[in-house]
Amino acid sequence: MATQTVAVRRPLAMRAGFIRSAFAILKGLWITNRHFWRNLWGFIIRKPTVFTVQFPEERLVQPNAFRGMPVLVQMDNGKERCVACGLCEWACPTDCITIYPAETADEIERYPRVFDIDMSRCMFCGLCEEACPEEAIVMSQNVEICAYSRRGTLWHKDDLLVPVDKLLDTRLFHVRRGYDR
Amino acid sequence: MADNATILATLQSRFTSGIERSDIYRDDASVTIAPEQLLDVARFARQEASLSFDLLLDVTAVDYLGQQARFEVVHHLYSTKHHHRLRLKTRVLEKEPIVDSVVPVWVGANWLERETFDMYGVRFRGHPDLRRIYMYEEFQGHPLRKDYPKERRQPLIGPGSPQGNYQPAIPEIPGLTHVEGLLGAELMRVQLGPSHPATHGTVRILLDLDGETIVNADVQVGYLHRGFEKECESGFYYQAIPYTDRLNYSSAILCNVGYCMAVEKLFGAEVPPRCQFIRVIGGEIARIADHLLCVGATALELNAFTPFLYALQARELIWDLVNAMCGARVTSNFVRIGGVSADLPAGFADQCRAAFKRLLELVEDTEGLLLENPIFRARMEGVGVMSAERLIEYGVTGPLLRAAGVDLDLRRAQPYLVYDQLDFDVPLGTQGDNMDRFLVRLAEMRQSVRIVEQCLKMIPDGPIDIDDPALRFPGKGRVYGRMEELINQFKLVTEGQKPPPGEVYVGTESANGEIGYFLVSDGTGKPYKCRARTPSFSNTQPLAELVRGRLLADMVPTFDMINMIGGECDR
Repeated sequence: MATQTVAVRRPLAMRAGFIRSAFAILKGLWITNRHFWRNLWGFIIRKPTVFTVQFPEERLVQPNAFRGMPVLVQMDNGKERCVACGLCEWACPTDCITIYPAETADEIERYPRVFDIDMSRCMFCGLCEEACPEEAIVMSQNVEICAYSRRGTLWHKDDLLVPVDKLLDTRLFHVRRGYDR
Repeated sequence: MADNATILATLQSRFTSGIERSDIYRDDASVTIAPEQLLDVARFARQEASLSFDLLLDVTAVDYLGQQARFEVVHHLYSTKHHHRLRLKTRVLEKEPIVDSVVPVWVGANWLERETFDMYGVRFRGHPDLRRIYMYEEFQGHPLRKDYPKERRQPLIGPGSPQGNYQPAIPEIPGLTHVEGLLGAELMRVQLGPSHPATHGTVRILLDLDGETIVNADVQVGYLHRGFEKECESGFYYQAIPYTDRLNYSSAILCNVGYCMAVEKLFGAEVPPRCQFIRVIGGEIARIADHLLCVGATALELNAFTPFLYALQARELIWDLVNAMCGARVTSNFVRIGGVSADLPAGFADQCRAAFKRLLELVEDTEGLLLENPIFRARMEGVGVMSAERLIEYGVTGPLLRAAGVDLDLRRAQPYLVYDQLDFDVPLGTQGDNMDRFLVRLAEMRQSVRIVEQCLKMIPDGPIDIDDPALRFPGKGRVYGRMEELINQFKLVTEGQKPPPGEVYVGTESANGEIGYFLVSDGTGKPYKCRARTPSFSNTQPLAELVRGRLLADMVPTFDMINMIGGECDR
């Protein structure tokens, strides 16, 4: 296989004249009208062809690979799966994760006493998820992190916990595709 | 094309005493020369027919804190005739960091040397205009020096001036001293930017106008400077990948690919074929997105709103593809050192084909509204012309250079990944005006669609990662279940990948030209130096010359066709 160079074809030299300008206008009208009728028809048969989404009412269906904010996976017994090993803290390029570990008498002995993510610094890169050895922190579909104060963008452990079944058909599905690589 | 050994032998036979050291590491030829010989070597490298290094890609420095010859000034050269590369290194003392300027040899060294001065405090003897370029004039110190702490903050005002009252001085434009306008009146000073609707990207352009004619212009970049190199040097190799997204945010995957290839070159590793195909697919999709933005925004800024909407609608289709691949539309963070973050999703080939079908229709509509339009053509044709030789002297690469008829596409000149197995055309312009730049971008989009379609047919099955525990995080299934992989995961995350000491440069063809990464490793998990040679920076430099003597209105299409991406230009 080989590549070759080709010269681009420039449009014909402009001939000053009414006819040519009129032709260009007609061509432009033809193109914009085609789009207009196409969109109108899509509106009538309720299969919209416009790409505008009326955001709060309508929402896009994101692919399961979508990386929203990171959340903590909640096991069936209501506890977090995290063992506070701190790998996500290490991997985070913006240092937005804060963990204080603690110990209990449960079967899984370590747990995070504090698990804070500063969402105003998080850039949704997903490196925490990639570093996690327990599948305890995954990216969710949620991207709405607005708050009335800076303090409000600091998410604590209780805000971050999401039951595992809610994540199974979204990001966890995507992550588990690469399980055996 | 001369091989590296011949290049070094040619230099050594000419300069017997001046060359202190020459070596070839990972196929990169580099010579260390004495500071007083730099200008002679540069002239020779440019003029000698068997070398003819006519393109100065990059000037930067490396700070070896603690050594007596503390700064190493590094020049990267490329030959558009022979397609080979060379690295020139010059050691200068800490007490007196002065080195000869190479502006007399390559005009494009001007901004690059200003940047090196700004960041490292190395002075260039004979430089016409050695000012700071990214930081403001009142800034204390040089931020990329190793003894400048990353956390140190400085107020955004000058010393000694009361806060709030501070008025920054409007800099004089070099080479302009009280020119009387043709109309007999004084020139008018106009500031275009930093935030101007016709400059997508924050850049300030000071213009001196005689009536409506631009007499002189000074382009001031740096409003989006955020310390890319400092951030990279303070994190592990894998932590810099999200930052490379933010270089050229309209084609992030291309920036990812270049960076990861550079780190892999440090290791001397090669990724498996399926991964290479996925990288090409991702990269070409990103290239289409970048060109669509450029084409659409140009139309918008020349007051044609409808083609802009069509182009952005087409770009929306591209973002959907990127989103399905890696989970984000713009900040993809897709490529990993030694692989890619995920395999292509199920049904991706069909999704691609459907998107491309609609995309090509939309591109055709965009084109149909513009190319016959007398107003658009009057503002594009014959505007912003510069000869190919002058553009090369400025260090311009990419569609801008190809529009002037120079056959320089790294995908064809130095094929990397799997580009040598693919069949595509490199569109070239004939006149080098804005219209040619526009047409080259349109043609390149069609070629990128062709490349992706070929890749989707040819892509083999197989692993998407290197199976090397020193480079790539192990698969999650193994981390959860087995002890060795779990330990490996901990080691990699907490210590980073540790390439052997050495330095490499990798240049790849991004949407605006050559994006190159120059990495220096000292054997630890953090890069000692991570330099990004970005095309927008070099491409913006000739803007002042492109518009000089033209009307103010010609500024807008010329600036658009340069397609300066703020994140990439200011890093």
